[in-house]
Amino acid sequence: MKFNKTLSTVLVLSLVLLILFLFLFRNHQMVQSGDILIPRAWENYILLGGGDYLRHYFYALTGLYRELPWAVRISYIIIQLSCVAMLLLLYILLWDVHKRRQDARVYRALKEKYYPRFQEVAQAEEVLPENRLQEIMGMDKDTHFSYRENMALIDILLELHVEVELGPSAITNMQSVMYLMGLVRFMEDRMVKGKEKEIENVIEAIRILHIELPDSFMTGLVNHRDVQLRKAARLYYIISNMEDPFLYFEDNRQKVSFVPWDMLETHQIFSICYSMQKQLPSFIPVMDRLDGHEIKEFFIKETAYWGNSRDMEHLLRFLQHPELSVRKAAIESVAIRRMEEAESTLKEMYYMQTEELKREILHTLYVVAPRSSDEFFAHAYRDTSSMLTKRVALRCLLKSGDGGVTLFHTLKEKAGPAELILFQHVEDRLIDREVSAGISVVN
Amino acid sequence: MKEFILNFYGHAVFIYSLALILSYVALMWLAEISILRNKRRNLESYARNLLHKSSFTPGVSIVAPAYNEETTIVENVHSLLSQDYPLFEVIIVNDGSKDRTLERLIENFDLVEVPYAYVPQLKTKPYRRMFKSTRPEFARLKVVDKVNGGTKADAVNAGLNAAVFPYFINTDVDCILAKDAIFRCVLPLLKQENIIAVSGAMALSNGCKVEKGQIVEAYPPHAPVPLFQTLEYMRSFLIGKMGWSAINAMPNVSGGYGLFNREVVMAAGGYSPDSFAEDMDMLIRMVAYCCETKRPYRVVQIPYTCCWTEGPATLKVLSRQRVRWGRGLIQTFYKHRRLIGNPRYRQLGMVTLPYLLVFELTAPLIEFLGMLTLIFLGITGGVNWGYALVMFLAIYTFCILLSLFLISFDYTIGGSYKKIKSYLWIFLAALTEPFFYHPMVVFFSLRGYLNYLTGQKAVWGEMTRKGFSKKESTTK
Repeated sequence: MKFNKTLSTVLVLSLVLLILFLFLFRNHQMVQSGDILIPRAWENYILLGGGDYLRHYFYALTGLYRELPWAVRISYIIIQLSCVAMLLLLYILLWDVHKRRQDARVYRALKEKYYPRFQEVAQAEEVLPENRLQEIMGMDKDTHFSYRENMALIDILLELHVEVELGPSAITNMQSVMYLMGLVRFMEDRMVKGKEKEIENVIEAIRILHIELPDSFMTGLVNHRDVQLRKAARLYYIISNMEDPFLYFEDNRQKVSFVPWDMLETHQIFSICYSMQKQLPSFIPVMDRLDGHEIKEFFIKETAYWGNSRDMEHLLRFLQHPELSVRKAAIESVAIRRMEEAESTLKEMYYMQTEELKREILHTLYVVAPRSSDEFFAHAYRDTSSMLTKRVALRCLLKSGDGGVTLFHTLKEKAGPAELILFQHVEDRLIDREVSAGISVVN
Repeated sequence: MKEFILNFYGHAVFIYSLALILSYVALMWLAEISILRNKRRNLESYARNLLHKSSFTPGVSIVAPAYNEETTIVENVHSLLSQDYPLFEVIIVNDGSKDRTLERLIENFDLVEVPYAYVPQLKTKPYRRMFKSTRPEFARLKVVDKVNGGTKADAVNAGLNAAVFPYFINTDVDCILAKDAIFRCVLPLLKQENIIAVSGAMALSNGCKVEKGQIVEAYPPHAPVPLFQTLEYMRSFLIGKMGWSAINAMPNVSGGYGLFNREVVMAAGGYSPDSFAEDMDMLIRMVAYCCETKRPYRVVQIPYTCCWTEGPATLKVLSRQRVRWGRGLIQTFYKHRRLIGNPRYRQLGMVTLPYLLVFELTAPLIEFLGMLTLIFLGITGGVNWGYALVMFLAIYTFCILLSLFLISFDYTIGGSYKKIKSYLWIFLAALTEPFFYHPMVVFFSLRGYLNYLTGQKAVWGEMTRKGFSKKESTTK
């Protein structure tokens, strides 16, 4: 939108400059004599028409520099083009300054007037009737907001949603307020008339503001040619549709890449579905069809978060996957789901793994079966030459219960000076606080 | 013969200048493409909400080496700790400071020595000890104390040995990070595949009002030396790097602020302690590693100011800095000469390095010889002063256009300064830069080249910092 306005301004300005240029050169066809302009003699015999004018001006212009050396000619061209470009840039800059000042003014005025009222509605502990909401907001039927004001109001509401955690009745009240103020209608309008970027942002805003739009708005966008918009619409469709919410979930005929951002968004959508008690599909068929390792890893973890026990049984076969990162995700998912039945499989596979995977297995064993693994942790400590793996094994041992603590101290007594630091490291409460806070998993 | 040589040189220099102008036009166009790509972005509140709640949010370690930074260390560590990002740690590497840097950290953050089992994955000067804070609000802070390694690279490597997250930010402890610095750099990392480094724009903090380690009001410096550098920084980040970023041909991610994939940095051998341009050297080795192992990669520049740094305030300090940069540039080119023009190294080998060789490394030399020729011809009466003026004006007006373009860029994307008045100072610097600042920078670069070629012993010069509370101190 902004770019188009800028472009049209540039075009209009270029047109004005061209007209000015033609006008100036047209005057040069006359000869000044005192106060009188006398037409040049050839003008009585030669009639110029159509493209002749442009050709004439071109020759007139190039003629001015014909006698100069080529380097000087080019220098003149650079000077003139730079001057024109500078004028255009100045115009665009000043226009932007003006627009921004107006936006800021409108935003300030609306925030001053409505933000405390929004807060009052958001803090109400019960669902308020419409007339009470109108009263709080100080609105009547004639209240109407311009495009700029609507955009500012949405910004203010987004700010409020970041600062204030809304309860169920507050969400209902805020929805009513947005409807009363015409913001829902405005967003619906932008969903239809806006450009791709704007529609994508509207979808994000309605997700934050808990606005419920009819499915029909999304069905038109779930196959949109713009990839980003299509992804956003399909994700929202999962929440909004009740009949077949995962209709487009498995459809990736366009072979669109699945970037980490998509993982964050998809995970959040699934968590919303989970809290809405919406049945999630099995991800196992999706994993089998996908080629990329990253996406496989993601769905392995999602299965651990949201999948049922039947899905988890299927997941265990990924513990033998040839790709290390997929195997690592499968081990992590065992920890996420706390699958005690995987204990023996993990212990069996331990000695065939890389050090990184060994550390992951030790951490997972600590999560799923700490008490029965203390001997295993002690053995893992003795068996490896990697200081990092030793450190993880000792940490798991120390935290695996009374038996583990006794073993830990026995090992500590036998440890040489080079290894003693590892024991002190895992015992230190400040380093342990860091690990407990999730800052470090395998340290 | 003399006339022929001078004539040839004159034409060659003019064609060189024209090519330089055209390359800048191309970079402006590419930068515009990058800026437009950045305009397509998520609502900020939506993105923050997502990052703060997700278990897939990547963790980031901030690594900041400190050597004799007692004046600014406390405020800057506060600034680093106040990042608005859910998962990060701050690692300060005390590189054998001779002043009270470590003591000030211990006093202000209630640090105690912890028995940390340090694993030296990258080789550095000996590690001494690790400190952690007893206060829960500083749980993210780690202070690594080590023997002085003489260069920033050695200290960063020590920080990387202690880091736990898959990404890290390499910054200087005298830098003030914007509160959303990590957030801004993580977004492209999440939105595109195979990113190995993200560079954030930097600006000078010399004119800014700083409170509790945060920039509360941003103004450009009014003193001439930092003001010219502000313009230079803007040109480098918003046109140079933004332009190269559009075609994945970034030559450098500044050592002042950049986010990197830790695994790739480690695999490429970490920072090189013998390099005087360790940031450029590191990126070249990262890209070379990716090309050699056929690993897809992307290096991106974002247009937002993530980091405010205190630039040299006097000519003496500026001279030392630029001599070192000049030395680092020629050293990096010599070290990586096999990459230049080598198609195996894709854009880096075929576009960026040849371009930098012709237009950055040799530019000071050509400019210097040009000045000598002009003086010689001026004395011998061989100059058409009218024509010379026109040619000078062509270069000058283009320089002004370039500066106006980047001012317009910076303002429209909501860049460094909020008020348009602030940009008038930058414009003033643009008008006067070619007469005063630029010739000096050319001279300093040439001294750097000469130092390297004559094998003079390299010294990391002293940098006088005023500190944000305006106290004077001397640091290296």
